[in-house]
Amino acid sequence: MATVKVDLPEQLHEQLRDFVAHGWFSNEGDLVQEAIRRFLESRAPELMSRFIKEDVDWGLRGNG
Amino acid sequence: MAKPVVCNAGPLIHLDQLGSLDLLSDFPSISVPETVWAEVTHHRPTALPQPFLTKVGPVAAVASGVAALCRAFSLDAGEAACLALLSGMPEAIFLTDDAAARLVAGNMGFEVHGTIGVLLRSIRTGKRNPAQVLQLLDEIPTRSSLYIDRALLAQVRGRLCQEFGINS
Repeated sequence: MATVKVDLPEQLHEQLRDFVAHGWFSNEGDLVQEAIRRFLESRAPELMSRFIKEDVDWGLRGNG
Repeated sequence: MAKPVVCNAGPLIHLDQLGSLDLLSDFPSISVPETVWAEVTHHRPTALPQPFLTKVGPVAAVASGVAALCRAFSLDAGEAACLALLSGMPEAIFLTDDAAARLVAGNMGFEVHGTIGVLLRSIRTGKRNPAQVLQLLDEIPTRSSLYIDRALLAQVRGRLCQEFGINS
């Protein structure tokens, strides 16, 4: 398991602590992991669309 | 001027499935980490070897910060090896069809493209004409394991037709 150190704005950290305090997650790390996982899942189609558009621009008009 | 390339397994497999691996032959160099090479050999043995592909290995481990990103984004050993290789080749293009690897590499400042980009680039380099690339795009769902949403593929097709005045 890797450890990633991040700085959070105090307000965001308070919200995160509230979720843990109310029992939604057992600890802050679990919440952050879930947030990253959900971000990746929800953004995948959007990312693919962006990447394909970048590919088309490079393919047709780029250099290299 | 074409730039050197570090290549992940996806584009090698997908281009070979489309009979288009030759589209990579004009890059000045294409480095394939040995873990990626093994992956391609396992899934698509006909794709390797090619005279324009160089197996590189063993690749030094990625820096600890990058390793953490690899784990957070669930990148596999091949993708991590590509990032490690790219760390010493900042001018290189990274070819991958994996969205997470692309996201991480892009945020690290690398230029990243995928199979679709290579197919379209072949018009610019004169290796294929627009009609041939259009046919390859149409064949992606049936001839290759590259997953691309059909609506997105239709958009690419439409852009190509518009660009070259082809009636779709």
